[in-house]
Amino acid sequence: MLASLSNALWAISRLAFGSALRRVLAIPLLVAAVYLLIALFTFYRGTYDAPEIVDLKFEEITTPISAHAIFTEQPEVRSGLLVIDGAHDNEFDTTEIVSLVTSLADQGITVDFMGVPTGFGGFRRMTSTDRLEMLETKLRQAGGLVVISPREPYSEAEQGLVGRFVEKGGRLLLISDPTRNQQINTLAEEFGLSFQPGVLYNQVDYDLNHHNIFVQDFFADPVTDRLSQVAFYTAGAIRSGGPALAYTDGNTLSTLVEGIEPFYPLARSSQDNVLAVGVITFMTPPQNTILDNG
Amino acid sequence: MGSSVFFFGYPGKPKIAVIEIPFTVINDRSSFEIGAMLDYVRDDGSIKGVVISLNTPGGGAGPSEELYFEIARLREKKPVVVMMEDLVASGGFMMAMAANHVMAKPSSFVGDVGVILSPLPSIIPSRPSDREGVTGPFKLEGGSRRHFVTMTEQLRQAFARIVLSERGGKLRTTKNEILEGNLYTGVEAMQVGLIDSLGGQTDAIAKAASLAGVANFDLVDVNTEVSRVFNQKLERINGPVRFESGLSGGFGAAEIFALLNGATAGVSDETSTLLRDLIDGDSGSLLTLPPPGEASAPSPPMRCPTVF
Repeated sequence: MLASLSNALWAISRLAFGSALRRVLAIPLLVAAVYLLIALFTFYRGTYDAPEIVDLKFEEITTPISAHAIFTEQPEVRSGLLVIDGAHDNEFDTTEIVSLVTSLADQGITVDFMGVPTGFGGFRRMTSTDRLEMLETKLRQAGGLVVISPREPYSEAEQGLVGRFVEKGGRLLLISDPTRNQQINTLAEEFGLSFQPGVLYNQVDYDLNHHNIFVQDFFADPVTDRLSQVAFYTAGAIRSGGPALAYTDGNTLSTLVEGIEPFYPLARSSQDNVLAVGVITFMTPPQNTILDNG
Repeated sequence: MGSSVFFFGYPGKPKIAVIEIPFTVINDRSSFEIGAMLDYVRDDGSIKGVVISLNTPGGGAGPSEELYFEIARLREKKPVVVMMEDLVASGGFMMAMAANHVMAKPSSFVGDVGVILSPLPSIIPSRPSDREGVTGPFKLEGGSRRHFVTMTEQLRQAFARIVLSERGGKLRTTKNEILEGNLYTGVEAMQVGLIDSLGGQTDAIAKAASLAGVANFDLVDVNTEVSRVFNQKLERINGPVRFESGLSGGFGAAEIFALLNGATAGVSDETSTLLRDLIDGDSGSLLTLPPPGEASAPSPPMRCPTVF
């Protein structure tokens, strides 16, 4: 650019030193050229070099897929009655536990819901007196009790009833996850168990979303027998005075706990017949078909 | 005297444009308005560099991506510096990634990389009705819950790709850490390489000028200029205008675009009144972006709106 400008100036100066007429015509041109040159150097210090266009290659983004497994089991036929609590404004829908109920029925276990069904998959709220009475009646006949995310706390009388039920050999299964409003610890703490509030996540290895963690480390126990890997959806950790049954890997973190430590989404209490599970939806179709969830 | 005429009167004096985006949720409307300002600076040859002063919590995925691509195109012609004010989160952060240089204040809150897709369909799909004919099992909800979770993951990866590609080797943190969706202060963002420098608006203007290779420049207030052009075009419209757009109680890009282009027919009385209220109101200009409360008015309801 500078070379062409100097050529132009040279041409103008040649004109200026020509005839008088040319000189008269050329002087304004010369002034204009000098003006433009000064302006150029006053206002412009360089040129803009646009960065290269970034190729984002969106087409290379892959669609994540889950590892489905077909669960086959020859059910061991037993008998007995299992009660599922629906009397504490429990936050679950009967369709969420359909695979659990089916599996129990396959084993010859009778499933009875404690509560008054609404017809929409939920249960009506009950007074504390009616609830206590119903709990006492049901537990008298039952061999097992399942409590899923109660929104109403267990009263001291109810805790005592369940405590005596467990002492006599009754089995208790506590299920909840940190995404639901729940008062499960009012019962769990009676057995040395505590459901932690943070949601577990894994940014490295997960099923579709970081909240869907894989668990592949299990302690030997009849419950974890034949499990090699399960996927838990929005699970929480459990603290227990008893043995943990499964623990998470080093990439799994909690939204509440800072630092890396193993979390236990599955644990027993010090009494052998109380089991706590920190996730609900792993057994909900179609998530019950992922890995060993079934 | 001569030098004053020279410095102030020279017609080819370069300009640096300043676009002010006060606290704004990025939705179709604000994206259209910001887009109009970007068009203005792109088409004005005397504007050699652009500073976008940005304050946004993010917004819709589509409008945020639109602005990202618009700024990326503008960057091919002239340098763009984004000055992050109090908050530049999510979709706003995506938009800022297209700039040549990203600047924040030490106390700015920036980042929040990620996507929210809500509400997700319930795990158990709704029951089909024998009173309704639908052509596919997921026609009503758009897919199963797991399908939507899969889509969320794809959008997350797409956002990550933008941040990683644009920041490239400047990043001093991992992809997973960015994707946690944290907000960073300006100081932290500088430390992890999510922004280029800390400073104020004067620094941003100086940086734009430096990138453009200009000195002794004028500043252009693009918000004022664009609303002036808009008002001039609107003044040419005489008499009632009619536009059967089917919109009720609101107006969209089509109406504004029609008015910007001098259309004299086709806009309903209701829409025309709304537009005039905006022009004659306290704001004095359509292109003065609305305050937080009004700006966050949700877009028309969708089954699963995607939000950055």
